[in-house]
Amino acid sequence: MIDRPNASKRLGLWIGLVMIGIAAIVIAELDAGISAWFKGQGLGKNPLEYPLIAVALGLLVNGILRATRTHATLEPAMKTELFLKIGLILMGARLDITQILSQGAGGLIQALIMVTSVFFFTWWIGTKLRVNEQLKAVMASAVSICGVSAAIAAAGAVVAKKKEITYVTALVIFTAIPLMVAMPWIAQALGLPADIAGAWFGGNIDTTAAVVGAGTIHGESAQAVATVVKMSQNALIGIATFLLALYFIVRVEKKPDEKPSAFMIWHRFPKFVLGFVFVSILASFGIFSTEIVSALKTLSKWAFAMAFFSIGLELSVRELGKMGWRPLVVYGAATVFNTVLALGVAWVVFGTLGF
Amino acid sequence: MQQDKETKNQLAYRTLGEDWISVIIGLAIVLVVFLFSITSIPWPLFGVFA
Repeated sequence: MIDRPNASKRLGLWIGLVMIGIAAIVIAELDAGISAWFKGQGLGKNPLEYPLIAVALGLLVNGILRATRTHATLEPAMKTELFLKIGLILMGARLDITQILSQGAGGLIQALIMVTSVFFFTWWIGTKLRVNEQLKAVMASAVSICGVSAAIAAAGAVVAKKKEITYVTALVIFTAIPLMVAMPWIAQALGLPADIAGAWFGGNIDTTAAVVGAGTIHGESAQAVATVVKMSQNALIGIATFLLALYFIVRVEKKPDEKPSAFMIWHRFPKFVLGFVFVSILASFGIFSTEIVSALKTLSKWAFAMAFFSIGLELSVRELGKMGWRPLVVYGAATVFNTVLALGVAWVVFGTLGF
Repeated sequence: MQQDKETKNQLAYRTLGEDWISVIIGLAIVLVVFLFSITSIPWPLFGVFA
C-alpha cells in the first residue's frame, strides 16, 4: 500500500531539490555575468555579492510559491542548514592552519581579542534586552566569530530553532553588503595603511566573501591581511562551539537530577565542525593541489548559493516580525561595537605593535 | 496559545541528525574532486562563479 503523505513529501523533496539545483546554476551565471559587466565597465569588484543575489531570487520564488499554494509541497527540499554545512566542510580546504601560524600571529591575537570582547558584549546587551538564550548565543557567535558559519555551528550546540537561524543569517547577509562597500571607502578617507585597513575589514565584516570583497576594493595588501585575520577567526569556530555546548549543558539546560557528562557534550557538538577541521588539516599538510583547493572553493560556493536561495525561500516576514525589535537592536549595537573595536584593535596590533 | 511548529525531537534531529549526513556528503565531494584531480577528465562545473 502506498503511504500517501510520505510519497507526496518525497516527491516534494525531489522536485524542490531539482528547483534549488537549477537556481544555483542561475545564481552562478548571474554572478559571473554581473562581475564581467562591472569589470567591462571599469567599475572594479561587483558590489552585489552572490549571497545577496541568491536570497533575492529565493524571495522572488518564495512569493510565487506562496501565491500558487505550492510552498508547503516543496518545503522538505529547503534544507538550508544541510547545504550550509556541506559548504563549510568544503571551505575547510581554504583554511591553511600552518599559514595562519606562520603569517598570522597578529591576526590570531586580533581574532582572540575581537571574538571574546564582541561575544560577551553581544551576550550582555542581549541579556539586558531579554533576548532568549539560544538566539543570544547564535547572534553573539555570528557577530563575533564569522557570520553564517559560526551561527550554524552555535545553533547546533545550543539547539536553536530554525526561524532563529534564518533570522540571524538574513541579518548577517544584509549587514555585510553595506559594510563591504563602505569600509574600504572610510579606510581611504581616514588614510589607513593597507595592513591596518585589511585587519579592520577581517575583524569586522561577518561573511568571508564580503571580507575578501572589501579587501579587493581597497587593494591587494589589504586583501591579504583581511583574509588572514578572517581565517584566524574561522579557526576559532570549533573551540567556541565546544564552549557553548558545555555552557548550555552545565548552566542553561541543567536539570536538578541530571549530571552533565562528556557524552552529552559530544552528542550536542555539531559534527560538521569535525569535517571542517579534518579538511583544513588535509589542506594544511599540503595534500590538496591549488587546482583542488580552487575546485572545492567553487563547489562550496555552489552549496552556499543553494543555502542562501533556501533562506530566501523560507523567509517569512510574519514569522520574523513575531521575534520583535529587540534582537534587531542587539544585532545593530553589536555590529557598531564590533566596527569601532575592530578599528582600535587593528590599529594597536598592526600599527603600534607592528605585527 | 499558538503551538510552536518544531517539537524538541524535531529540533534535535534537524540540528544534530543532519550533521553526519553533511559530513558524509562533504567528505565524499572532497574525495571525488581529489580523484578527478589525479585523472585528466575536465569537470565543466568548476569555475562558473566569478
